[in-house]
Amino acid sequence: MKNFLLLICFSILTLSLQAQDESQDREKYMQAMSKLIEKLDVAESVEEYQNLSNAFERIAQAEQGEWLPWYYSGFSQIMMAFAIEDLSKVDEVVDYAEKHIALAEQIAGDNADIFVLKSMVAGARIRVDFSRGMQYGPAASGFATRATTLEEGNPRGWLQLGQQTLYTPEAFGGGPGRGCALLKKARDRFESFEPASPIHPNWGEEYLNSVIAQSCSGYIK
Amino acid sequence: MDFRSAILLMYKLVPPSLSLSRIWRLGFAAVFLMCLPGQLKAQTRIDGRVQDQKGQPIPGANVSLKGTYDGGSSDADGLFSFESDEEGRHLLTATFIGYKGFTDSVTLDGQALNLTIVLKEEFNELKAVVISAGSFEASDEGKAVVFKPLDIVTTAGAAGDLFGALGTLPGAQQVGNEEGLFVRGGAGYETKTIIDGLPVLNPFFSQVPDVPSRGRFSPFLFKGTVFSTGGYSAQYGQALSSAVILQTNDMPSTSSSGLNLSPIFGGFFTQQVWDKTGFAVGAQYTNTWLFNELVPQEIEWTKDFQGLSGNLSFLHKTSKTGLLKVYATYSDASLGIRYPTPIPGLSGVDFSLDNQNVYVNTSYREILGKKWTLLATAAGNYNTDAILIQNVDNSRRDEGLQGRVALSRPLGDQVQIRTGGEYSWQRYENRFQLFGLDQAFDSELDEQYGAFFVESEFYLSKSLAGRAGLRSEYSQALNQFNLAPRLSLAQKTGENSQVSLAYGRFYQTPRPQFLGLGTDELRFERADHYIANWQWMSPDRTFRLEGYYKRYDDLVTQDALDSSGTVLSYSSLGDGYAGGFELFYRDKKSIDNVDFWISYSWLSTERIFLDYPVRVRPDFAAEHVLSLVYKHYIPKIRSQVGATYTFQSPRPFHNPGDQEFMAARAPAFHNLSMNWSYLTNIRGHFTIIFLSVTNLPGVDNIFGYRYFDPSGQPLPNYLFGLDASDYVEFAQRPPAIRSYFIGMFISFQHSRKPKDLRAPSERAKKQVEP
Repeated sequence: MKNFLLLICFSILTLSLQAQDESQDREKYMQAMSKLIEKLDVAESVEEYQNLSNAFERIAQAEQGEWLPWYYSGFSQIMMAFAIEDLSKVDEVVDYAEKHIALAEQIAGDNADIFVLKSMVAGARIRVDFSRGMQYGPAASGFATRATTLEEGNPRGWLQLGQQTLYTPEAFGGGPGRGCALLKKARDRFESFEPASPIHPNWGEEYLNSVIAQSCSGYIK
Repeated sequence: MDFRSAILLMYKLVPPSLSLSRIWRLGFAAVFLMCLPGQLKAQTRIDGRVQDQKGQPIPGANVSLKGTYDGGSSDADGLFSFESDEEGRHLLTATFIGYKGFTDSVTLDGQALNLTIVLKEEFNELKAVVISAGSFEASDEGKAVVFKPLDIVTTAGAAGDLFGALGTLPGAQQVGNEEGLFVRGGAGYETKTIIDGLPVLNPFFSQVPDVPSRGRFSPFLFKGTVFSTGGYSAQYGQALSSAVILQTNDMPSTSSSGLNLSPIFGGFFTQQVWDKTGFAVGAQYTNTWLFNELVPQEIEWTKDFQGLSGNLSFLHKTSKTGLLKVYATYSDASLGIRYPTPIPGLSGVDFSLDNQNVYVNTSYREILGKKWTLLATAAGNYNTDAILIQNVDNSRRDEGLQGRVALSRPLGDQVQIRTGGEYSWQRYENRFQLFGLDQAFDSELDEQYGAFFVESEFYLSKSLAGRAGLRSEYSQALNQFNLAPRLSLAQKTGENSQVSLAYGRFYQTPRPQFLGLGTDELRFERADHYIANWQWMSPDRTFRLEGYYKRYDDLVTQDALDSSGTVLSYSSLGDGYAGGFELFYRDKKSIDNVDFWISYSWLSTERIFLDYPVRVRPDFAAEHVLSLVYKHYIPKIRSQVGATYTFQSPRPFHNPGDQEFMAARAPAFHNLSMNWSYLTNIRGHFTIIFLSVTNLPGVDNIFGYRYFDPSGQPLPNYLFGLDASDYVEFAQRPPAIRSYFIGMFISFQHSRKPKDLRAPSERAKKQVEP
């Protein structure tokens, strides 16, 4: 009898524990991600970005089937590529970022925020050598355009496209006139943008405002 | 403590007054506590150091317990530290960019662990040594890249011609009155142009005496160019001295159109890109009437150059890794020239040419299974030159088909093997009509050629690489086989520097005009190359020093003439050598917005071939060649200004008054060309306006001399000791002393988004995603 009770007790326990485990795991995932995203928002140095990318990668490896950890790991690498001073290292870093972006894409499918990263990768490659603009310029604006068509209301697609256009010489179809008009679209979309969850991409507004303040004074009120 | 004793303990501890339900609840809670994994477990601290094989710290490495969030990054000293609540055996991994991943199993039981993790450097071709002896690469990707495709187009004096730009590199020399690139003492025909693996029979517009010839193909067609001045890979053959190896573009990223306008030509192109398919079409019409009217000409044009050309290309991604490319081009060109003679009162020699050319190249690339990469190429060519010299027919026609299959695969991560074969069929038809005879003689020659190659590229370490290959070829006209070994080695000597060595044997079938005559006596022409090179390269600066020795054998010689001066037979009795050294320095950094390069070549060479009676420095080979190329981008006026200066020391020629062969020297050659490109936009469309002048100072460059008897008849080649009254000299000059070009290019980027070609079900899926 005692053994029988014990058995029942044990099975109830296991079942409830499992349910609890799942929600606890979810909680743990959300918390871990939120903590890292907070750090990412204020990161500045190559070392910080490297450590964040590593931490996101650890979560990605443990949470098979989640695209966000791969997304943020790739994003951290890209930010690192823009922070690195030794330009000869940039390609290696964005090659690595591309792998993580591809993994995110495998899980998430076509996604505006992922196309924004792809566009940023092309931008980082141009940073190495401006003569690459011929090759990567169309890719950078093409991916950003793709982001805006995939999700019209996503402000980061417009931010990336606007920024790309802003820094393209007027002769090549860029310039502040066209760029700032796109950045304004990004600003309008930030006003109403709601991320799908607290850990979905929700960056860029502050940066956008700094770009607008710096380059668009005559173009946007 | 097991469950049983825990429950027993519970019963003991619970006072009898408590109700059963209370007991149950307590029991439940207690068991729950037992079962909660973390609560009773100890934390384990894991720290240590990540280092490379030499013991140097690796900062930024990711150390983690597999399947958990637990882990840390190594700091500047390679040190890491983290804690984990896990227990038991776990896999610990460490990764870092450029290193092979590390995995080991660890047991976590609360006892602190201290680990030293050694990461092995991953083999990375981008960082490894590159075989550079005898080769210059132009591409947007890849390693050891000296040039970008754009550099070719913006080189002053090259006028957008690929070969013109390559002519500014060390080892190469352009000879104003003959087509082709003359490389290291080799004649122009010894350089072959190879597109996607197959040699192109007519890479230049048909040659017209004294008129410089341009390449047929736009540099924008190619994503990569390798210019080999010797020692090239066993994948290619039939070029005694040099190979220009071109790879056609892959799928373009955007749809666009363009318009090309100038007083002498007008053209357009448009390309459409869908998800998996790309299509491009272009056409151009050229007429030099206005140019010939405005710019003083040394020769009389009886018919201005007029040309119509068109091209089509089609690209299709057959799978994730497969790509099919078709490129076809057609051109029709005609012109007429009256060459002056040095005899006053005598009318000139009339020359007219009408050329039609068709070239189709189809290639297919795919990854087979997991490892093999297939590249299959097929090409067809058709070329006719209707040539009339003083109304005497000298027409020629050739047509051919070629096929090539190449397979490559890696063996491990440090060895790559390639193998493949090539087959071609060519038919050459020539018409000879002798002066004063109505009857024309036609000759026809069919040639079949087959080749097989095998090659391995290997890295013995990150700083020592080699390439060894063997090529065997068969020529039906010669009915002979050959066997050509090739070997290259490269050793890194520092972070940015390396030494390369190359050896190779190269064969070339004698040109078709010789094959019909005396085939029994003919063999493959042969050259052995020995090359040593030292290179220092950073992203902004390149310095190269290269020395070489080449031995030529079995070059075609002319045997005997009949009384009318017609050649009766040829044999393979010629030989020669070429040796020299070259310097190259390119700098994109030292001066703001300036990119410049300097090439210098010194060449010592002698050969006996064709109708040469003795071994001498051939008439096309200058001893010193210097090129300075300067490009300055001026952002303020959105312009790039460029200048190219070329110097060639005097080349030999033979004067029939001399007793000694090829003893005379033509004047040195100087050319200063300038160009200006202005970037702007017209109604929002990207536009380049360019202006160029060749030979700005107006130097009177003389390519060589022709000799006539006093009645105005051309003298046979290489007479000796003629009295000054028995011959008249005529200097060969370019058609115009200075040449000008003005043009504009307008590009229309299509703003339409790439079409969504995915299946409707897939599109729907995307829309329901959060």
